[in-house]
Amino acid sequence: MHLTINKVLGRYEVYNALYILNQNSSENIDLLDLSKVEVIEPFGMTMLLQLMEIFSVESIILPNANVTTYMIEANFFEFLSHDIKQETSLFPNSNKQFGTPLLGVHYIREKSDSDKALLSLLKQSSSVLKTELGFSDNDVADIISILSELLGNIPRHSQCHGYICGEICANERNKYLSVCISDTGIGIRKSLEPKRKTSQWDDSIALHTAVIEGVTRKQRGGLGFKGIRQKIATFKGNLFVKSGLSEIAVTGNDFFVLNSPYFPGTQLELQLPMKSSI
Amino acid sequence: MIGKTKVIELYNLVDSEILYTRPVGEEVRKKLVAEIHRASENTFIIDFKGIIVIDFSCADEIIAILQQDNKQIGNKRLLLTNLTEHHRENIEIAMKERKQAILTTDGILIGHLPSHLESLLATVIQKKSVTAREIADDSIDALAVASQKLRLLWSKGLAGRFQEKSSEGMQYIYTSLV
Repeated sequence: MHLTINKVLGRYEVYNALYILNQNSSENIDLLDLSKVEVIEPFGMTMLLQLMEIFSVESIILPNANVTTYMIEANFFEFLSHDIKQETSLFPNSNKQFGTPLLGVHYIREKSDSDKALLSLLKQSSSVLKTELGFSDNDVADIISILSELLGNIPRHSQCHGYICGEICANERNKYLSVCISDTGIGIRKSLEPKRKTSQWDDSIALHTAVIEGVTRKQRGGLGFKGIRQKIATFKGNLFVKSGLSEIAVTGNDFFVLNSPYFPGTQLELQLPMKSSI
Repeated sequence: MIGKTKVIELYNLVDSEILYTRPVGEEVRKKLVAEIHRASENTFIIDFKGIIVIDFSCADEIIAILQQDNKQIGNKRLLLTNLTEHHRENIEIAMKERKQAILTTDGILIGHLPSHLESLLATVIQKKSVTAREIADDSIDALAVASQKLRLLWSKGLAGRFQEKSSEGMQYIYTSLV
C-alpha cells in the first residue's frame, strides 16, 4: 500500500497513518511518501522510526531538502534498520533553515544510552532552553530529572529498546518544548498485569492506574508518574501517554482518556510551554 | 563544637553531573560510606558543587537512607552544602518520605521534623551547646523528657554530643552542627 504523510508530521498525521495501516491489516508499505512534509515534530520523528521498524517499507520519497537535512542532523537515518530504496536522493542543504535539532534522535536500551541523551540535552541545549523558552537552571535540572525517570522505564519495563527526540515547537499561542519518548515493548497494560486490582483490565484502565493513581514500589522506585505530573504542573505543561489502544492526556490536575489507533509499546510526549517572563 | 569536619565533593565520587536511578544512588552511597569510614573526622559536609541533577531515587539512596541509618557511618554527622533549588526539592521529598531531616551548612533544615524537636533544634543551634538540665530548667519539660528529646535529635543526626563529668555525674553535652 502507499502511505502519504501530509504537511506536519506530528500526532495527528501519525494517528491518521496508524488508522489507515490498521484498517488495511497490512504489514507492508510499498511506498512511504514524505514529499508533502514541511515540519517534523518530535512525536512524528520517533514514531516514523518505530513505524519503519514494525512495518516493512519498500521505498520512500523523502521530504524537501530543508526537512531532509534536519532529519539527517537529528540522526534519523542512523537508526533505520534496513535499506530502503529512496525515490529521491539525499542532498544536504547548507541553508539550515531549520537550525540544529535541540535533541536529535537517541536510541535507548540501557542506562548508558539514557546518560548520553541526557548529557546531550544538558550540555548542548540547556542554553537554548534558557534563551528561547525562558527556563532557569533549576527548570533545566527539573526537565532532565523528569526525563531521566521516564527514560528509565524503557530498560525497566518495556523489554525492548526505544527512542527519545526533542525540539522547540510553536503553535498559534506559544512556543514550547516537546520531547517524545517511544518504545515498541510490552506496553503498560501487560507491564502492570501483576499489579492489577480489578477483573476489568484494558489499556485505558492500565493507563489510568499507571499515570493517575500511580503505581510505584514503595521506597524502591522513583517519583513515579504522580511526582512527574506534579513537576510538569509547575511548568503548566502537558503530558501525553499512549499505550495500545488508549491515550491519556494530562494538564495540571485534569486528565482525559481517549481512544487512539493501536500501536505496540508506549509513547510519551512531554510539552512544556515557554515561561511568560521572557 | 562540631569536632573535626571534612568536605566530600560528591562530583569527585561520581564523575557525572547527572545522578539518577536507584542503582547509581546505591553505588554512590557505598563510596560515601567507605570514604567516611576511612576518615578520622566526626562531621562530613557533602558538597553538591558540580552536580546539576539529582533525582528522587538518588537523593533517597545517598542522603535519606544514610541519615535514617547513621549507624552505617558510625554515628558520624552529615551536613549538605552548595545545594541548588532543584537539589533541595528532590532531597526534601526523599527526606519527608522517610520522615527524616538533615541540615545544610547555613542552618537550613531539609525534610521532616516534629515541631517540638524543631524548636529544640533551634535552641541547640542558637546556644551552640546544651545539656538536658539546661533545657529542662528553661522549659516545662522534666529532666527525663528533655534528655529523651535531645537524644532523639542526636539519633536523627541533627546534633553532635560528647560526655563530660559534672557535679551530678557523667552527662551529655549536645552540640550544634552549624
